[in-house]
Amino acid sequence: MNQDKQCRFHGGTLVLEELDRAASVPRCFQWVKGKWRCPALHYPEIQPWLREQDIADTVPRWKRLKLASADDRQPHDYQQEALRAWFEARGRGSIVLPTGAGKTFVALQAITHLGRSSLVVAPTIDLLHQWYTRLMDGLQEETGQKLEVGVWYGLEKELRPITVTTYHSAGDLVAEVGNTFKLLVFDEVHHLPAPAWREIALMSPAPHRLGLTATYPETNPNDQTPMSQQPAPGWDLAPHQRSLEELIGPVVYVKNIDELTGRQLAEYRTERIRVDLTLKERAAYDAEHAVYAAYYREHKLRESYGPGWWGEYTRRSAYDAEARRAKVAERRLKRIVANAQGKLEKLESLLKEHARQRVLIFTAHNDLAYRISRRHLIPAITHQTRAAERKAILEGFRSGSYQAIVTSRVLNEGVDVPEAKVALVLGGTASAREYIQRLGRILRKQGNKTALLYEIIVRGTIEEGISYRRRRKVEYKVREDADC
Amino acid sequence: MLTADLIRPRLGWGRGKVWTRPLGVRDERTLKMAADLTALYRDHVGRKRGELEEALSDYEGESLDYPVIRGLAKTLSDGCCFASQPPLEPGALREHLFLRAAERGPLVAHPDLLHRTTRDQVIAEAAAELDLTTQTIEESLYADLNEEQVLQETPQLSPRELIERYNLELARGLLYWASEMRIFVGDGYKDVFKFIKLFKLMHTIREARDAGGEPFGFAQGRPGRMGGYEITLDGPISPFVQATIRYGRQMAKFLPALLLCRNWKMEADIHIPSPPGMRDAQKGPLLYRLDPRSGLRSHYQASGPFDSKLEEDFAAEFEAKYRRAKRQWELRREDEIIPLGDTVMIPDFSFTHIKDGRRALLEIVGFWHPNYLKRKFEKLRQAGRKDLIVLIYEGVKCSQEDLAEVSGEALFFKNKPVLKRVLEAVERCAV
Repeated sequence: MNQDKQCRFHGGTLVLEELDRAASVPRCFQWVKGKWRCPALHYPEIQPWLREQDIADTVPRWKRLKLASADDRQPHDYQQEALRAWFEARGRGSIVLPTGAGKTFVALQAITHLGRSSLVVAPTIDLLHQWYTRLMDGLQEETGQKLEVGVWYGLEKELRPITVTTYHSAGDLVAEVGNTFKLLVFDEVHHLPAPAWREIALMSPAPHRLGLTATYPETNPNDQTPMSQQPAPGWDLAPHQRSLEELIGPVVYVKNIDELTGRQLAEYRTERIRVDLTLKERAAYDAEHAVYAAYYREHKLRESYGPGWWGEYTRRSAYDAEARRAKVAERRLKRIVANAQGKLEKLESLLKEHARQRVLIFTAHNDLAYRISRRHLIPAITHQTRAAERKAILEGFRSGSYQAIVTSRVLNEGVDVPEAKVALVLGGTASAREYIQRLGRILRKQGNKTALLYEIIVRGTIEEGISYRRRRKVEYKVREDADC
Repeated sequence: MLTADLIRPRLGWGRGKVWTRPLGVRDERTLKMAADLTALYRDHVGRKRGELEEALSDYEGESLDYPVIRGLAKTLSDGCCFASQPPLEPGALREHLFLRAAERGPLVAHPDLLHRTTRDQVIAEAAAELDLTTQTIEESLYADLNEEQVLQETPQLSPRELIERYNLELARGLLYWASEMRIFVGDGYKDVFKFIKLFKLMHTIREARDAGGEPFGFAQGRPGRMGGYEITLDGPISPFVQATIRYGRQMAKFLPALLLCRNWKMEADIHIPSPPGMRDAQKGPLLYRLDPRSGLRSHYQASGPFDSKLEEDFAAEFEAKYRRAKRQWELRREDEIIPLGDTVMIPDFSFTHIKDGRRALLEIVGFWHPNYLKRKFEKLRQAGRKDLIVLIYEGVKCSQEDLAEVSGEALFFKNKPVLKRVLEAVERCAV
């Protein structure tokens, strides 16, 4: 019988077929369940050995792509330097550039020059969408034909030679078809050392890896800023000793923030507008608020638990009928505030006022975003919007086909909408990050025009407190930045 | 599948163990909730998901049972079919309408001198142009949203069945966080391995011996081969990382297959992630154990006792011919597993001598596709067992070369095997 020795890809590992236990194999292999096996990460190291031993190598399934850049932008010097450094390191390693310095552009160049199937891993679905747009617009076939880009996440799963996914979905994808990508690009690569995410890099045989970040982890690879999603599964496990260097390669290029000027950010102005509840809304709000406030006052939650009172209240609402009633009341009153008629009226007058400017409207919830979309017949972007439609909407907004778009907090992380001159915030959480990003978005690369941010809040409701806390966090953040 | 927020409130843990708190199938309050919810879903067939969710929220009200209500509802929803068939493709309609609206400036509810166009005007114009009613336009506009989807069909579950299914989903929910699953099985090997393979799990297998020194300590019945097997389940990358829960979902899918066995036990190492914003409650894995007394019901279909008529006839003839005093060998179906590296072979029959306990195994090779035969002979070669007899139909195209490396005995037969010859071979091969 023909029993050929073979090395194949299986579930993120490399398996040697027809080599028995007595065979001498590279040290990365372990004898597991009757086969020699190692994490696919080691593929580039063992390749020479496979050739030497005349072992059939069925691992690589990646494709050669004839790509050209469709982006007319001239790379900055530092972008070219970064790219050169990465290629000199045989296409492995991380590039550290400050936010807004064009990391995506560097990645696009790397993919174009390498010309092989590539997988981009982004931290959030929002950023996945942004990558999708950038890849679609920035790459084309050498023939000038449009290049189709795949996306792989919860809502849409379409695999292409160039595909974008999230850290959350990448594990399963790489375990299944990791050997179809020769290059992995990790956006915000400082997330990678989390135990569950690190497996992505471990299970891929890709010889080329590019990490991008503004904040490369200094010493402790497990000390990271939490992601907006749930903590990574397995986050609480003891760290496995594999550093970013092992997984991606060394840092090949660093540019610090003070080396690039902050000129790109424009001046901005914030205006807070207070609106009233209608009489009917006010009556309903007050009734719900009475139930809610009575609970934490009567039980002296704030006095007893300090800043942790909210956690205690939430915990109690799982078994205490009174706390649960307060929780339900709180949910209802938030709904009243979020959907207050006064906000819609104010929105209409602001849309009239800024009829000749590009307006970006933010809501806290999907249902309000869709109500506004229906009411003013303007496009909405929520987490239910698919990649292609989302891209078309943002393009329409950029080109001026749409004057206004409404979105429910999905454009949160660094998404470019440079044409927006006016942002209207109709609600949101107290999260400072969100607020800063919303600000940052409309301000990016604005030239000398002043951008405007309106915050519409309902007078005499909990929203005033949320808005206050939000701003206080921002000031805090700014001070911290100044200290650095 | 149940989400973490629906699973957590139904867990208990302590002393290194974790368990779920299943719902009682006879508890009246629970039965009423299950009945209310199935009725509520039935009432919403033909209505939008958004309305269904509103109704569920109303039903839940201020009840403290909300984790259970939501869990039962999720179990029902997962079995539902939602769909919408708008007369127009919503994405295309939106683009058409929004571009047209943008040309007219901001659309307002209160027109004034500068802003004359209302949204209703734009909708009316588009309706006229597309030859549709304004109502159709309004309904199609976002028909592709989840909440606009119409409930087509609900699962046909009695309240009791819903509770049973919920209890199973709860157990599976805990397994999403499993890094390793260890099972003991004493029967139903074929189905067990069919599903292990289907869900792409990897296994390590060994015979369960006596109840004494084994870590499991639950092997029952006779010692040795008949005592069942201990199987450890994980995935390809598991040996190279610290406890990964990457394969937890596959283990959860596998669980109903295990429930098809009569004699089984399971334990799994569970790593419960801490809720967002909370500190880690647990260090190290918790042990989760299940056995038939856990009362879980499978919704998977067990395969029948025989794969083919050949096997069935063989067994029937043996039983008919060798009765009582004439019987020296006991015939059993698929009661032994031969581990072959990353796969297994489960011979069709075993013969056990009634007096001295000697055993031989029998594999029947009927009419099959050439590729199947190739794999089969490869497995037989790998098995390298002298007590393995192969019965081959003469119609099967195989050469002596194919059989050269098979260590046991090969018997050919024309239409049906001659039992006498088979038993002679059993006598020769049994160990």
